[in-house]
Amino acid sequence: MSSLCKMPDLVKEEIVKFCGFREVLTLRQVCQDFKNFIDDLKASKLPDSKFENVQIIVKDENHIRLTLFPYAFIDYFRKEKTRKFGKKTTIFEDQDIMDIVIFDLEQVLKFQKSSKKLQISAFKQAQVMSILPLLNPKVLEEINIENPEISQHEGHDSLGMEQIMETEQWKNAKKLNCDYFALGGNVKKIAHFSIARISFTSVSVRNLDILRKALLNFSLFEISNISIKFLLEHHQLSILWGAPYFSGFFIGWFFKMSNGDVMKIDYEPGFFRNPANFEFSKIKIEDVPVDANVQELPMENC
Amino acid sequence: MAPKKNSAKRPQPSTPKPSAPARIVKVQSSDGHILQADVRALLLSSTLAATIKGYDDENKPLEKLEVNNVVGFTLKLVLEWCEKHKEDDPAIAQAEKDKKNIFIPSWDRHFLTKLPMGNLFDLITAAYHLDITGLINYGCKTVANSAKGKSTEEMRELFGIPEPWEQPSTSTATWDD
Repeated sequence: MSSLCKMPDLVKEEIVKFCGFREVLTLRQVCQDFKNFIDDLKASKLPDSKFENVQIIVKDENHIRLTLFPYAFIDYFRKEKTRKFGKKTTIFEDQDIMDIVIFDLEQVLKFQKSSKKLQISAFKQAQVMSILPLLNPKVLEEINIENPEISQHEGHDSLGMEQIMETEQWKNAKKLNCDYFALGGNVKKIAHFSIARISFTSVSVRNLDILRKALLNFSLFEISNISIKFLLEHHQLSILWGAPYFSGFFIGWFFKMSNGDVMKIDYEPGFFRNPANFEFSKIKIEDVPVDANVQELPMENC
Repeated sequence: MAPKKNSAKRPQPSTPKPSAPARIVKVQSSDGHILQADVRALLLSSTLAATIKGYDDENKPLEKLEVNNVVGFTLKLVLEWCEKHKEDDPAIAQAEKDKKNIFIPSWDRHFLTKLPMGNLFDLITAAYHLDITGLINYGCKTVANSAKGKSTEEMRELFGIPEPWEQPSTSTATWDD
């Protein structure tokens, strides 16, 4: 009798295309050839697992749990070098259990095509980069990079961001929330986020102005909150943006946006070890204080 | 029975044109069986259509087509399917090729599900060699439907995979293995 495993690859691909996620996982186990075939298939050819939520939680030094809501969870034990799924325990004698966790997660994310939000606690760029590129950039909308408490105690408040900012996932996302001071990343790389909160170690006023100009023309822009440890060329602020408007504790500027709304820039200067803070937000023209000047910069400046 | 919900979205075949007299040719299988088929049915196969066009372009009489990679039993099934679909608009199959879910018409469902799985695999493989898009679509969808809810062991039995596969403890073994 003819066997499924001996069918031409294009036919197998068509069959997999029509199968559900669970059937593909089962098919993966029928023979080594089919397993290799499925593992080598592009994610776009595979069905969507439609997990509501995929979580990795480090329970303690020895125990990691991968949870696939609402279906299942898998436990990994570092000392015992084991993975436990339901009643089945697999021992990995010669391998680091972390490699198994990452491999399994890669397999899960190959089928997880509808991830709209990534929430990750990390203290190294490599940790974010082990997950972020696995997600579908056409679907991912929100990136949350959190600082696990463990690293706050050690005074780690910076994270290398240059590789993260080059990913398609970063470039296509709409919302960003990052607990860290970005190292090696340019403030211009957040101009496509509708909503953003991030800190930078150092930013020049010139680059901040490039960001402002980009946001003035960005119709989906809502709010960007940027903390800056070292604001370079800060004396240029009043040269580029004019004299700020003062009212009570508010120091800032108002600029006309290309869609008719107003960009409000709320500036909190840094002092001692506190970083400077800029909050760019879109407001309606009627919400501008009556005595404030809304600047309309010449087009060549925008 | 009420029609399936998605059948309404399915592209409808074009109105059949006034039928010209059927042009019948002989088709020979790899094991020497000679069958007869209407050229319009054979045109559903891109491979055979190219061969037929070659004959027509050179004004050579087409008496017999040789299909070297399909045995007689399977070729008969292929020709039966093509005969049933010879009036179809080729755009239907092309449109369905890129869909993740398709509706199998009742005649095809009955035709394909009555076949033992081995014969169905042979039929799909023949459709692949002869490049018959519609038959590949319906055949693969039928196989996928038959896999629904099956365990690994049931799939092995259904799909003709005799030896149980021993899972080595390597990094390529995922959580569900």
